[in-house]
Amino acid sequence: MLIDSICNRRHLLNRICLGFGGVALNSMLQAEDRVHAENRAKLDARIPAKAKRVIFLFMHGGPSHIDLFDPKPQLDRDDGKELPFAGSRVTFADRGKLMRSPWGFRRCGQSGIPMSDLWQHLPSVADELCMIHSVCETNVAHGGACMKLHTGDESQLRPSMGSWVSYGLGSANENLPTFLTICPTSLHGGVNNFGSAFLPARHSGVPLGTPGYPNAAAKDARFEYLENANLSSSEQRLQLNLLRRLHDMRQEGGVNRSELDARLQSFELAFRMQTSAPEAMDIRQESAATRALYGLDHPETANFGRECLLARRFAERDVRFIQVSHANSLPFNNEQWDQHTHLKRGHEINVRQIDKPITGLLIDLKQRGLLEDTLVIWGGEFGRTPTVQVGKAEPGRDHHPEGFTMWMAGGGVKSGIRYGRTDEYGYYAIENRFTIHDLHATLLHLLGLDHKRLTFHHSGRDYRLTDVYGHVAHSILA
Amino acid sequence: MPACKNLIIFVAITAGGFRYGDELLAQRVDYGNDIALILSRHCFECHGPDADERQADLRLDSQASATSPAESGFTAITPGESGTSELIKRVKSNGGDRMPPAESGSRLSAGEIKQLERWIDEGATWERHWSFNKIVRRSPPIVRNQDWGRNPIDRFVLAKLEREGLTPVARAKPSVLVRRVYYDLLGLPPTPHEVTQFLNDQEPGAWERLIDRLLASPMYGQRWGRHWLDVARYGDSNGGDENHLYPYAWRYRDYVISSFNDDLPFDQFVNEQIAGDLIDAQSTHGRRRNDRLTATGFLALGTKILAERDEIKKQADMVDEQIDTLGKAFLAFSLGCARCHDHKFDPIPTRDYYALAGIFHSTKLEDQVIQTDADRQENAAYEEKLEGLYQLRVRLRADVEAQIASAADDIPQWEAERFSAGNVTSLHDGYGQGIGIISDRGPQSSFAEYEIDIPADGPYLLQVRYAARDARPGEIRLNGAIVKENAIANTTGGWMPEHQQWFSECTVVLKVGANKLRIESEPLMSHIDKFRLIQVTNFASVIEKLEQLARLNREIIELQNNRPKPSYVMAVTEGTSRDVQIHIRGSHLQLGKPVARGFPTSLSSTWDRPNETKLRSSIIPPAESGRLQLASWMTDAGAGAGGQTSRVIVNRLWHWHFGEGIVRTTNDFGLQGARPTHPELLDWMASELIRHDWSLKFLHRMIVTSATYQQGQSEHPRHLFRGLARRRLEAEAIRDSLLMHGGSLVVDVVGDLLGVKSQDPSPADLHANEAAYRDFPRRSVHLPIIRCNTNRFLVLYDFPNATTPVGSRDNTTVPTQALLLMNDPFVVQQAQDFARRILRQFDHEQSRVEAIYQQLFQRSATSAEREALLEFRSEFGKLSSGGDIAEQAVWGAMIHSLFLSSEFIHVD
Repeated sequence: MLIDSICNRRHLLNRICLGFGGVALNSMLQAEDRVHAENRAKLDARIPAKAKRVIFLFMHGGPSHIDLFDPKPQLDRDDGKELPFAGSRVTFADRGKLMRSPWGFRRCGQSGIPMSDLWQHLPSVADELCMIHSVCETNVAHGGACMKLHTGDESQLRPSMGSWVSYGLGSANENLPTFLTICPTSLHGGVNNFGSAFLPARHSGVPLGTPGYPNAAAKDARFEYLENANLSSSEQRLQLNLLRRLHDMRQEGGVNRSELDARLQSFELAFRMQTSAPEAMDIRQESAATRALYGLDHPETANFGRECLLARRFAERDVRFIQVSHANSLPFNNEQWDQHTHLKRGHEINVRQIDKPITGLLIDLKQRGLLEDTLVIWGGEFGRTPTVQVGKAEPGRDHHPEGFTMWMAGGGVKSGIRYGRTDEYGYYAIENRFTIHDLHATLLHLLGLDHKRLTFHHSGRDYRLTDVYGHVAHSILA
Repeated sequence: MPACKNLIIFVAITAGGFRYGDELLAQRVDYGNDIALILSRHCFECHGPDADERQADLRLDSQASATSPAESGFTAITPGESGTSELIKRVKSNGGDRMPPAESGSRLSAGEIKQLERWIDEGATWERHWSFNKIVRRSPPIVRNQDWGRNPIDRFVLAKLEREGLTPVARAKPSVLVRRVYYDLLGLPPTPHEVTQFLNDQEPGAWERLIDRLLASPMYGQRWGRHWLDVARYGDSNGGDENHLYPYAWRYRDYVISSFNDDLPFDQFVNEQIAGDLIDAQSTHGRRRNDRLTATGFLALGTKILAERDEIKKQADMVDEQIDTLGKAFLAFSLGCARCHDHKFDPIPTRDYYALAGIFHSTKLEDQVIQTDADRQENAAYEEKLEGLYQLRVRLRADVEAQIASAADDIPQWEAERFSAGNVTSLHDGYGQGIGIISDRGPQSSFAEYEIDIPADGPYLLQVRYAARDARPGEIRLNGAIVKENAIANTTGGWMPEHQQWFSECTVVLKVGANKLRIESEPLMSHIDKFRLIQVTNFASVIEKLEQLARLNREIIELQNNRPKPSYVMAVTEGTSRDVQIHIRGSHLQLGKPVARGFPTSLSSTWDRPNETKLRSSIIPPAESGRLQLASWMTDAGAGAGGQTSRVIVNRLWHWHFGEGIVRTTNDFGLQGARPTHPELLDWMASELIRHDWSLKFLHRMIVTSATYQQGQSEHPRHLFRGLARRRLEAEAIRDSLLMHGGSLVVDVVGDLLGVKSQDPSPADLHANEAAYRDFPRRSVHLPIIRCNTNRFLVLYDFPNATTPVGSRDNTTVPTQALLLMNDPFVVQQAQDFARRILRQFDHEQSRVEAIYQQLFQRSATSAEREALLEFRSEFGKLSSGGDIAEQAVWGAMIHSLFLSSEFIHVD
């Protein structure tokens, strides 16, 4: 159900919309409508949808495309030589000579999508993937790049993509938020990466697990303020009964009753959520086979596996945007995918941590029929340079926003294809360049939202997730 | 705004058949109210002020252009003839010539087209946008009801009500009013005593006396300073990518609070925030000087992307943030849009933006030292203590030297320049005038050796007399072995004979007869005068004194190392003055023509001829940034934008008092913003403010003592200010009230930064932060605003995202707020503390309930309410076992329930 269509103006005075992300009250909608009359524009933005929800597997730190998905034979041949053309104007660290990938590659599945030898499980679902090799234009520093990826802007604070999705689609499950982020990082934009900025606060991503560095463990991921240390449920029931009784006495004949009623109902809903939200997170309900599918039975995959399994449970319950972060939990330095040094050791551990869980997630979504209307996106804020970074103990690579790989699966994208291309060293995206704005435009399109029409009027102008940019990559649409 | 109007009409009709809606429909279509918005939203993108994007050379914001044939040969608008106007044909078209073009995604609604048609048929008149006009001071209108009004504000409000056939709402009950005005002016409820004090004051002028008392309270500044901090997007960390702490930002916060308390004239307040460092810059560090430096924190404390590797972009983004904030905060204009292109709707061309940008590119962010009273006291205490130690040392030294002099025969002493071997130079004038010294001959490994004859075996204290302004340490060897490293290492304040001092270097055990002493120093050597050896066993009292002296020296050094740290403020200062080039499409990599530094004078020039705008850059001297001139332009009501500045702050104050501004969009007075509902009242108050020396307290007094403000509650029609809306308390007021009821609120006015972790916090850090927030007993305005990790209590209750000026907070009701109030240990604690106090003070149930109600709601409980509470008590009691603790738990749970109530969280 679409929250904003229930709450249209016709029903303004006698209908109340409730939802975890927000009890949309009369006064609030009035205020929104009055100040942002243009925001009806979002209803015009609806187009036929292929996907109903998104699971974004965020790989914090910058996974190396040329060591994971984008093999470069020329780089192998020119190992140790200078990059034969001009590199980026702005770089993060000093860059040395070309460095070949320490791993071999093989073609996987019917589609022959290449993957490096690091991957043990993902090749089995290669034919579900839509590889995009030409992602570009984030920023060379983590902060700017993370914000660009999540919000479309590297320097100003803007609503995150999940917030735009929440705003555009509204809630489909009033007992849960529309936008959840599981174990987010507190670094590099931190809450800005799931914040709603100027969109109404109910579209903010709700973090499960305190954002942190290092990250919260998945087993500590929970909603805040859901438990009371002092009062039992029956005691709280008495409190709410008293609240209602006093409310009824006072409100007889009072003005603006519906608003106060709605506030009272928000307490009832909160009370119910104290049972329903933990239920959604209760993975004891899952079979041993399912838990094993996500790698919950192995210490190296248990944490991320749990995050992925929670994501599926929330997807089943129609949360619109679920972000899962693989961040700040690399055993030897917390830096996750950010291998300026120790490329080999770091990427080996990283892939081992996620390989089985994400493969399990894709298999599980598919077997439950959820993959067809769930768009899964995998990627980080940038890739890594084909050159070695200067002055490090062990070989590693610098940040690289000029051309890198992300992949999608399910929710209306073609499967088993490769889209876009980087040059022969994996440096610049040279074919079908896919900017972050293009990513956002395509994502919204798949969810049935026209990125040019999904606008919000704020301080004198209409804002979009894609600003004045962005093209839908029609050729990857199924 | 059409949608808005429809809404209001709808509300008005359902609320009881006012004629208001019908009349509105019968009115003439108004360019400013209706048409400008339609055209700006759908058409100005390509046919507006932006010269680069303009298509077909057609401008619909210009009467001349719109009514002349365009490139196509057609005339967009023929006044009086919508049927032949090409504009109407195109917006109705479904063909290839439709406007706006299909690919734009924009389409006019049937209602909008109808309005355009009516406007053209009625003659199509353009008018200047209201906020570009100078303030017009009209006399308050004549009203039929002569009894209601208390001051001129009421005549403006009443005249409009009377025109609509409405009457004001009757005055609210005194108990409602007193709660309302305490929360409004102080952000806290009155105590039962304060309520009684007001209700018992039956003399005329009781209300005015109450207002004067409240405006004189330091809590007023905490409340209203916080309002301004919303506008100033105040934060204690950079909040973008890396989230570094801003350790000195809190001084700006305290400056704002004290400026409100001191009723600093608003024009000065504006000037100081833009150019405080340049105002009366020669003055010494008094309080005003400190304040002015602190005020410029306004420009410094925005969010920044500190890890941006592209320094040019980083600087451009920072300037953009400053311009955007400045424009919205003071002028209610989004100047930031013109960074990439001429403003689409408002006549702010790109070059106006870069004229301003030059001013801020010529300004740099730099923490500045201030001298607070505390600093002065601390420094004075330090100097006094140091001086005391110096004097003690002088006495001790004299004492020692006198003793040594009296035993001169037994204490052998050598002149440094009498060395037996060495590569040093001897000086007998200048540095060695009257004493004779040695020093290096230039950078080298310098040394001097001495054959010394020792009278008896035993331990000796070696002392060297030397002068050194800078430390030139060396080594001392005895018979080839090093006896002291880092010798001759002290400084004495200069190189001259008067700087010579004795220092004890070390104790050495010597054999009778010839010994060799060697002094080395590399690359340079102190100015050494002489050395001596004091036999330790024979001169115990001298040695004892020398040890005292050594201890004293260590004490002095220790004290000097702990010299009081200066106080810093986050501030700006003049940088290298330069004009900047236009950044084409906002890119710092594509530069266009340079633009002389200046102001967006288009804001006060003819709105449809922005190209004629004269940038008055000539008044900015080449060596100055122009901030000083910008500040005075901003507050100059005659030639500058002062009229607008006054209107904007008047509207903000009105908004904060009533919950809605006269202009609803408090940060946007541009074409896309709302129109003032009472333009004459707005202008009248703006001119009153200027006439009364920009005193905000004057303005508060006028508003709060008006009959308009004292009306009872009513929701409709709100835009006419007929009655006051029920309002939810702001986050800070809720938290502060809870603390007050819990009995732990501390109301100190000046602050410091609570130690919390901002950068790279772990979950444990964040939990520690939350615990620190929870245990912080002071008013919420003093809580640190760590962007990205602001106190969850504040955030859940719509505390603004401190990244851009906020003039109007959201007002949401979400279940997470309910969860917070139900489960947050902070809330539970306040309820329990309140209960403990009540149980101690009152023995009877009835009097307990009465005391709770008076404190929370400023009224008595009804008998039904009392009954409900007491029933709760007995039911709740059944769930737990008896005893004193249980009694407190029950009353605590009851009070907790009242904290959840709407009455607690709202003001009528």
